Amino acid sequence: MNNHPQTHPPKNDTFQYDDSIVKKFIIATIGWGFVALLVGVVLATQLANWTFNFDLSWITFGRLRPLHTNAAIFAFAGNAIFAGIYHSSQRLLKTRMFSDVLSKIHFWGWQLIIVSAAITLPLGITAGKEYAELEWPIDILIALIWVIFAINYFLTLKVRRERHIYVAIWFYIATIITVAILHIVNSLAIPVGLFKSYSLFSGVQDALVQWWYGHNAVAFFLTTPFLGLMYYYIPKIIKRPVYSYRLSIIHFWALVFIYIWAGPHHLLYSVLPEWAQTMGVVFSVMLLAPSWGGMINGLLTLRGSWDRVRKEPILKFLVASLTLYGMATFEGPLLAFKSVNALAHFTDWIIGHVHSGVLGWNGFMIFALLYYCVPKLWKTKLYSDKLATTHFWVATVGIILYIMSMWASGITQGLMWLGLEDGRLIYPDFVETVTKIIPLYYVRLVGGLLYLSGYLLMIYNLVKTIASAPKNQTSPSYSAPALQKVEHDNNTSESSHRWLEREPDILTILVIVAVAVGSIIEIIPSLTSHKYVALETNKKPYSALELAGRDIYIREGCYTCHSQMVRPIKAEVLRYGAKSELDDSIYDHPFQWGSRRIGPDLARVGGKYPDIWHYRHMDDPRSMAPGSIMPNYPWLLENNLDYGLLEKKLRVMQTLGVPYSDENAENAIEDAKAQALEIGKNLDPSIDAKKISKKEIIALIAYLQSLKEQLHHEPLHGATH
Amino acid sequence: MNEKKDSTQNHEDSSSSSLILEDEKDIVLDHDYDGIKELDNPLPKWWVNMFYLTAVFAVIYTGYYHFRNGNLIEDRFQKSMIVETKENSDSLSDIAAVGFSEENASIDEGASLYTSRCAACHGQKAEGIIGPNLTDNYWLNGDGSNDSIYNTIKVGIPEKGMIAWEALLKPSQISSLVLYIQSIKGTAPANGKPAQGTLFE
Ligand code: HEC
Ligand code: HEC
Repeated sequence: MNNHPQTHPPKNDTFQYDDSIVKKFIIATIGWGFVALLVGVVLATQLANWTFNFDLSWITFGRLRPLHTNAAIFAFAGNAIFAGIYHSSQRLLKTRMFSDVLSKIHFWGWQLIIVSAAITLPLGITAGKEYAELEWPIDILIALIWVIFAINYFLTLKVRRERHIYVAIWFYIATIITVAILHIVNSLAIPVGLFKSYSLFSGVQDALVQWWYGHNAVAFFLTTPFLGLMYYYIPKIIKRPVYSYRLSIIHFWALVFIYIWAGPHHLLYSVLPEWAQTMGVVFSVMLLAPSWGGMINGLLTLRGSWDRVRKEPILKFLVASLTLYGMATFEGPLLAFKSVNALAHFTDWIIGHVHSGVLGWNGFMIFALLYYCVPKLWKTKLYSDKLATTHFWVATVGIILYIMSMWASGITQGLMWLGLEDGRLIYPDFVETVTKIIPLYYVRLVGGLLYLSGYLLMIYNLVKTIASAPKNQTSPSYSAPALQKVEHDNNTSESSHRWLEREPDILTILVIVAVAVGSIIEIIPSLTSHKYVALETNKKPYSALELAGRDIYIREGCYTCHSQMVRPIKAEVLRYGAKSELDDSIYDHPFQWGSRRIGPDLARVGGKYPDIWHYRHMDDPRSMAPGSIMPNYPWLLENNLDYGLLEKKLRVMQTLGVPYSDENAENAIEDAKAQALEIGKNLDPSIDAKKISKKEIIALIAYLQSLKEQLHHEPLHGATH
Repeated sequence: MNEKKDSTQNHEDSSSSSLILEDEKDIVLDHDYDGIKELDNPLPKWWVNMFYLTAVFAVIYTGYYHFRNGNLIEDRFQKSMIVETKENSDSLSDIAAVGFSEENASIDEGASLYTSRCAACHGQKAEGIIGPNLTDNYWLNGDGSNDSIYNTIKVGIPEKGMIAWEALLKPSQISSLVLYIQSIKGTAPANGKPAQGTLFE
């Protein structure tokens, strides 16, 4: 069989693949996956029973949730993607990676990033943007390491010995390019100190950029690389040809082009201009076919091998992974409809949705990869097929419990929030809608524990496998001819896409164009609409003390439980107050609209309660709201507020366009102290005003009380449509 | 996996070449990537139709919201609120006319509502914490009559830190609370807040 009909070189090169880098990434995947799942189980426990943070600031829900999401996406899935990319690309391109040194820098750099995340996030060092919480020095490190990875990868493409690049590689290229763009744009910020920065964007603009990033982290971190892995490992494992080359072309380009538009479906019913919201909806719906294109190409590749699925655990994982991918990509467009979203947004339904994706599609694909690659790379056999099968069933039951309980809890709570009777809320008491779903939180916890137990079985199985590996391992050598320069492009029988597959540089440029179109059309107009609002608004910027309080709000991750976006829905306005307006968040660098209401919306909480209520509530929420699952924040009553950076903070805000005067900045500290003393005096006769006014709680109260409707608000015509 | 005999080879394991079924022989493409082959199957018809359908749907959906009057989120919201205030103005005047009424009200309901909604500020025994002691005969607002307490609860004292409860409680529930508050008068709980306001006997 001649594999290279186009080339007739005289001489074969001999080369070896760098599998040690693959092994490193595999071990990192296994370790970080455990951390991500464990933290997830801790969070699930805390929601079922709030006392499980033991009043320790660094493991409260708001600080731990970002660690969980970052670990699951960037540490667990991230390391797995790199393992798969390094393993499959070398083989698909018939070359060793361009530089072992760059590969090593990539590996150790990435682990350094993860460790920094694991240290800073529990300390409350956060940028306050979902899935992009890491502060600016780590962001810069991420960008650097990613660029090193990209350089190594594109240089590897240059030295390849396979003229055409296979579909898996297209997906890897799309991943490398788009993630770089998303990360860099969304992380733009001005530092205030080593551990603190303010997002360059604010309000609606920040929201749009953030969800353009957030949604496409799903697309280009959790989808395209995994489709690439699928296109390599399924045919490899099952030893069957890929079902349809044409389908792979169409769904690749459709996916890359359409995905980038869908971000605004995270911002339905917000103050984002409605045309952008509608774009988010319709492009989400149009994503169904491109997503399913990947699924059916995978499933049809398994055609004729269904008997093996019954016997082999790896194939079980692959089939379940694809099925859950199909399910999640059907559910996504459904959730994007405005009418469905009105019910589902801010509820656990979304949490269930993302877990069917990550635990099912990504997790199961990673397990298949690990069970396949570990024995292959360590040149041995899997320790136990039986254990792997048990892992599969335990994890599957876990996922089912997880998804079902979140459907039930999301729909229940959503309906309770919206329920009206005679123009009155049926469940006006928010806590009632929380206590109702606590039993389902226990079901979810069981689901998570099962998934984690399955994972432990896998660790045991793989450790045993590696232990059984032969001692002195030699890397096999491979041979292939070097690519010859093609002088004349006279291969007329070749289709244009075949031609493109020989020209990775051009393919890369086309990918950039494809993602740029949607990005530019959606984001540029929002920049201009924002300017218009800034001129019209009569909103006063936060006082220095309120700004300090806001930074505490961000530090504690209150946005993981509280939204600040009253949607234009009757029940919502009755519950929280006047609907949110564009200029409410115009000075919010970063915006804090949130994505999940474990607690009530706070956009209108200012003036709702006296200061002393917040004081007692933050110390012990249950003293004011029996049945609440909000953590205690006793340290806010003990820690002194750090006034040090305050002037610098106002200056940075000034640079960002917030209308502070120079006096505001110069007097920031005195102003803040004066306001704090005022609040302290009026708190309660039994509390020492001087002493308490130095504490962080006072700044937080000042911030919470500032969250209210703009007085004399003029509707901003044209800006909301 | 088969042990390698050669020191050099094209694929990791030579058995990895794809298994081609009989009916696929004609549509195998001649590329081979690390043993992976591709078939030239056409796009599934239903899949292509689904793609077209979603595109058509996108146009209709956009048209429905943006090119017909009154379908934007803001329009629908305004409409729902107008209906609401009209209904409300009827029912509000009803409520105003009703005021305190013993119909459908009960001390038991009042007691449980008190514990869940009011105790945080007024204390478990109404001894007063953030809000004043409700067991004495001194009142900051009104004269301590049923109607006056009813009105205080209904419209609240927002500037002093008590919200208006009319959005959260039914008229009969407010009446139950009034009954409960009247029933605990003179209980003189421990740690009671000193009297505030004017004495009404
Ligand atoms: C685990 C989720 C969770 C976290 C984290 C959390 N909260 Fe809450 N919060 C709740 C729940 C549930 C309620 C509703 C019950 C209650 O009032 O305690 C609530 C209520 C509130 C309320 C009262 C709102 C109202 O309208 O009655 C305020 C104010 C508040 N939280 C502020 C904060 C602040 C500030 C932070 C961060 C320091 C925070 N919360 C963190 C869950 C949370
Ligand atoms: C957030 C705290 C808070 C909650 C909750 C609260 N109150 Fe009050 N309440 C106050 C405050 C503060 C005052 C005193 C207002 C003033 O100084 O005039 C008050 C005053 C009153 C008064 C008038 C007392 C007087 O001396 O004039 C009544 C009656 C009353 N509350 C009943 C209730 C009932 C019934 C509930 C539960 C449905 C309730 N309150 C819940 C804070 C609260």
